[in-house]
Amino acid sequence: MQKLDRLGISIVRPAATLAVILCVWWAVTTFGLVSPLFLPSLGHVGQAFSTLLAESGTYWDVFATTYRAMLGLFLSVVVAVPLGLVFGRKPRLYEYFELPTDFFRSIPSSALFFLFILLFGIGDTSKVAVVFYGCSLILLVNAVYGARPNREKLDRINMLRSFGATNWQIFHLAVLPDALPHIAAGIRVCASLSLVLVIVTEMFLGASSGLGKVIYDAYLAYRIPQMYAVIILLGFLGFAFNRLCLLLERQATFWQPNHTSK
Amino acid sequence: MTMVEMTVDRLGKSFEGNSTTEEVLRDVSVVVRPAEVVAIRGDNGTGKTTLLNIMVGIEAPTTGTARCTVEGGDSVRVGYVQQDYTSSLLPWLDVLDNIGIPLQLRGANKAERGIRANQLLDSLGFNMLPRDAYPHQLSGGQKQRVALARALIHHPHLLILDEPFANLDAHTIRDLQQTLSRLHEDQRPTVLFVSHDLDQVFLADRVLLLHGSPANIAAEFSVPLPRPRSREMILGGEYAEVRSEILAFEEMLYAKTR
Repeated sequence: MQKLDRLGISIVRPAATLAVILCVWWAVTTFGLVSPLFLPSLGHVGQAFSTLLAESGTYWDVFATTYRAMLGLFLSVVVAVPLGLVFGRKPRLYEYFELPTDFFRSIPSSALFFLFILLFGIGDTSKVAVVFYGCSLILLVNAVYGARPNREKLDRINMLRSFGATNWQIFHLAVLPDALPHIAAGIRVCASLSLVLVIVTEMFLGASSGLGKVIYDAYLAYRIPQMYAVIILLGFLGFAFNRLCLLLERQATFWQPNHTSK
Repeated sequence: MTMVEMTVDRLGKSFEGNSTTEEVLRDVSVVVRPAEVVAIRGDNGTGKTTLLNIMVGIEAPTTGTARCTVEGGDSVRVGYVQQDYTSSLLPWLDVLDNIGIPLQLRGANKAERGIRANQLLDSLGFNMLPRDAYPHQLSGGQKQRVALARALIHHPHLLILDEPFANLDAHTIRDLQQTLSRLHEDQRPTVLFVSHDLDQVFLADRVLLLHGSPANIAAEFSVPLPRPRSREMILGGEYAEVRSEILAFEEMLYAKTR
């Protein structure tokens, strides 16, 4: 019964907020408080949204955007996480790389768009490279913090060492699980970031497909309801990304007090 | 039966700070004979834990050596219960998996580890321990039991316990003392343990007193009680003599320091 109540609350409260937003939108457009050029009516946007879903090309655009974002994120996980774990365990080695990492992390990925076009052309490679650049440095730093020893982590490592554990056993039994919550949190942040970066690259880096291109085309042609429809679709996509990452994060940190469910 | 002798020879340990060096141990020499039980006493900060860490190979000595000599050919199995047992448990493993770690490191599969951990918990009388719970779901005393069971599961030749009875209720301490005493009779491990409580050193054959800064072995007391040991021996005259001797010496040392 309590579970049912909690479920009810978790659905009812966000739904109420959404209903208020829609009511305000309806009122603003119905009473002409904002020009329909900037904010079309709910009906027009709904119609554009259903048209968007009915077009087969939309699914290709969704796939193209997801593919670029996920590939960039995947590559940054593959490269940055192991590197971060090594740096976390070898602080003296990381001292050589900490300053350059902080410096490059401070350069916004968007500032490198044109450099990446020069380096990789206007195809998918430059878009994936922008995502890779933006995500890998965040993941690197998160993995470093996750693997960096503190007193509690050292107690666990020492315990394993006292039982004769090898370095590899120490790594996979203690260092990696200890670092996972940091890494999982980094992946969740980067999943949202990857989508942001891909959308912007699709708008400006000569894309032939992708939701960013669809938004930009709709904006140039003043198809404002379609632009809103794609933005809402992107909202759903971003929400799905976030929920998926949250699920992975909970799996990685199931043993923490708030997450335990066996 | 594999037996282990621990030899510590002129051991010293210093810790490097940013601008200072703190010398914790100097010229510590001790031989712990096979199957002997040795208790270590000393004030907080005298380097007892550091000495134990060096003995199990977690830390390296600055000078001198600490080495195990094995009789019987097998490789040395060490069971170590750290002072901070809470953080030494792996939070992502349940009770049985935590206890099975020494077996896992030696290649035992999960089923085998589970069976042996369950058998051990039964034999130790830890029946109230929730076996599928995670460390954050356990009380301090329960975590202590898990850490102790983990140190015992692979039948260690060398058992090192850093304040093993801290945070346990009197009833549990009595049970654990009997268990350790029985285990020592059966398996004959070499045992070193740190304890501040004089009522616990009746388990030992010898008591070493670590004192000073940097610390070394200031005194050594033998506990001439017959084996197997039982808690009732604490009430006997022989133990009262040992106890008074230790207390008198400690009083004299601390009076000098003040």
